[in-house]
Amino acid sequence: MVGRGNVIPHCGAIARDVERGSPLRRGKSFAPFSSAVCGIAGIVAADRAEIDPLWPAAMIATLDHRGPDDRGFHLEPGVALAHARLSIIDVAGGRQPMSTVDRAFWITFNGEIFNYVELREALARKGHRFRTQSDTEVLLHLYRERGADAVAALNGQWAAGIWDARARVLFLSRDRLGVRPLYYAVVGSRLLFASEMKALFAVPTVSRDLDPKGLDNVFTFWTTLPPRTIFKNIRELPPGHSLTWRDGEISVWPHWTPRFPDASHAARTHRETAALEEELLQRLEQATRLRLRADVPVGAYVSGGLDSAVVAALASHVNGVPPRTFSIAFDAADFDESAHQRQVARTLGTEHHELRCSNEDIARAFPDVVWHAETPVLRTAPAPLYLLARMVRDQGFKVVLTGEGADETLGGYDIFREAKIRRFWSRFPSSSRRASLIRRLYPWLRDLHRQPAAYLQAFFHVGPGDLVHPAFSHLPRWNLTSRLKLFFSDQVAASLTGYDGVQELVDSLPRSYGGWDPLCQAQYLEMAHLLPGYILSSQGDRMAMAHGVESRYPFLDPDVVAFGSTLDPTLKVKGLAEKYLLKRAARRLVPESIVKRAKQPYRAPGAHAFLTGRTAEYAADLLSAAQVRRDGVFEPAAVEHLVRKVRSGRALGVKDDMAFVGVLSTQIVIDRFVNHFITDTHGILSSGTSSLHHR
Amino acid sequence: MEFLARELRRFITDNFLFGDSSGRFAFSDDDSLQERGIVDSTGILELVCHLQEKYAIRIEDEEIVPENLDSVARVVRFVEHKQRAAARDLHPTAQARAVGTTDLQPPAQVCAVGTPDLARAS
Repeated sequence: MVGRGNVIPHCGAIARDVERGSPLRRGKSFAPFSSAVCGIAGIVAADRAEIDPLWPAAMIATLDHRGPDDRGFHLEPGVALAHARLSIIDVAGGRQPMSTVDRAFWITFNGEIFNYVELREALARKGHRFRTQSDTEVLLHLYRERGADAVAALNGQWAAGIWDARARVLFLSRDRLGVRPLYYAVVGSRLLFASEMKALFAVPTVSRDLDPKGLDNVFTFWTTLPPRTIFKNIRELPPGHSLTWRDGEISVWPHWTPRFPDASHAARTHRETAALEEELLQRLEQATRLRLRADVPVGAYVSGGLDSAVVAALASHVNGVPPRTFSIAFDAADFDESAHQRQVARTLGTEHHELRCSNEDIARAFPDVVWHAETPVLRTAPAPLYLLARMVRDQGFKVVLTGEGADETLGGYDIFREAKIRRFWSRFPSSSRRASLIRRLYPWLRDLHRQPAAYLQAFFHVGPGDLVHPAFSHLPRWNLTSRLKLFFSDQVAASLTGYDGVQELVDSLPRSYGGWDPLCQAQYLEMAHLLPGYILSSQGDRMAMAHGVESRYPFLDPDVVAFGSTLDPTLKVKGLAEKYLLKRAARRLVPESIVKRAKQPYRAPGAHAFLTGRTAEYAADLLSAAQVRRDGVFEPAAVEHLVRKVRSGRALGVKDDMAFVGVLSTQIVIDRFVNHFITDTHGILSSGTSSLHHR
Repeated sequence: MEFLARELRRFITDNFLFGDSSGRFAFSDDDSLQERGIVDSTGILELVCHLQEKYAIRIEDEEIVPENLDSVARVVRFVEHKQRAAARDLHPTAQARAVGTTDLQPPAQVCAVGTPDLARAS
């Protein structure tokens, strides 16, 4: 039986041993740090009703990959908190769920508070006494001190549930940019929350029905508009939001949103470029230094591009020794960047590990990739990252630094420059340079260079009303992706009658949005949607945490983000030069050839990877007319045509490729989550709940 | 002309609308294929490839413009014009080759086209 009011720290504790030293401490001293690679879950009931102990046990068991070594539970009438932990070194601090000494506050926490050392010192000066060295305990005390406002002081990536046992209030919070995931569902008088949706589905009363609007969102924006997910009854706690639950009443509010100065504001940063370069480097160095706080070795991903090279170089500079680096190479030359990756590794002197990824590797891994992503994806790009994280883990690494976030904060994406060109076109519609400008934007997309100028211009056409549309920069992409909805079945299409996802997004924009520079508006759309909804989740947390690997993002440090937000737009995109200031600053850190290299987005082989060889079987089954008809989301005849087109072996356009991957991944979601969701409750009772004893 | 228009409608429906068995995306011969979102810069070269293969015509780059290809009716007129021109230029026996695949097939990679990729990561 489960003990009431007991914490069951089945989990081991977290690493911490400064004196004994880790490989990364050579030549440097490091603060002790608890690396909390974890999954969290919990249930609260308004009526203090009994909670079947099987439920939190079943929930947390689905998150084993996030914390495979240990599980911990806290149960009291009407409350259950659960935690899955990856033991790094067995030290007696940081067990979770954790409480204050008086057991008034309990926490289950996933993530890292990078500035916990400084926060701890400040709290200690106010009389707080700590039992462990963990960042988790610091957050608990900070919450006791400041309540919901505590999160404003955090520099970190977190998803946390804090239970105030006296007030009987549950507090949930998620980091500013949504690095760590957090979902919830309301079932009767109960609120359930977890790191991943599959944990919520472990409770049998939680419906797994798909939400057509969620699908519509994915087939427009590549992600859902939070709090919507692709499941009707599951809500995402949006990035930068907190939630309180009290007696069944739920309140959700933003504790942070991306903000930019008014375009006409005279106080915009106009200082000397050299001084700004220096400041950017200082902020990035400090962001990297904080993210190297670890009691395990920290590796770095190297993509062959500028951002990850800068991060790896800073890690090398801060530590005094180069980090181990990891990268993906493809057989297909169009996708492969291994020559550039090796150049970065050689220059920095890193011990470099390269994962060579074939089409078959991608196809084989894809069902598991979708299982972890918990959403349809329109690209296979998450799959190689899933495989890379496995290699990283096999090499004994549990933490990696990556370069994500630079494009959003410092103006790197093609879409920013593309919007500039489209604005130019709208003013000079007869310019003969229009097609050549677009071709200049995408030197890496060889196929585009064969497209007829008239049609290329038509794609980037600025229609009546487009210029004043709040999402001007993104309309061509969203319109292109939206065309994939022709695959929706009549039933799904009918259920979406009158729904306009783009309008819903526009309605959610901040009030000050209209006064921002167009570049800042486009940055906001990236930072508020694609970054958390796809880059940091389907390509980020979910793929890394599938193998218990934690990604850290120096470019998403709040001080770096704030710097990027207030930076003059011309120092982000100057003419058609992207990440202008970062490139200037980076010359001190990485080879000139990497700085000058034309930006190439990370991509992976798509539809053709699936319909050749043995790996085709599951795809053929899930895409068969009979299965598609049974599942009801797509039009069977349309999918048949698409499969035939892919099977023909002819080169596919981007739209068809996205359609195939999107339809297939949706069918996998249906197969794994709707039709055949399996929770091993017997296994849970025989293993995981061995911890559920009175203590 | 009706035969040609019917074949074109079938190709467009199968290739760009994936059959459209529900009829939700029905289009007329005069509808703009671009404005209806049926053919974009990705699809236009597929259409060009098809026309070259199926009707044994060679389409020059400068002819790939909406004036020639942006509706079924325009494509029909364009193909018929090209066939008449070819017939005039060729030896009379060549007219028998006006329909069917020929050695004018373009290399497959001509159809490998893409609009700007949405995939982004560092």
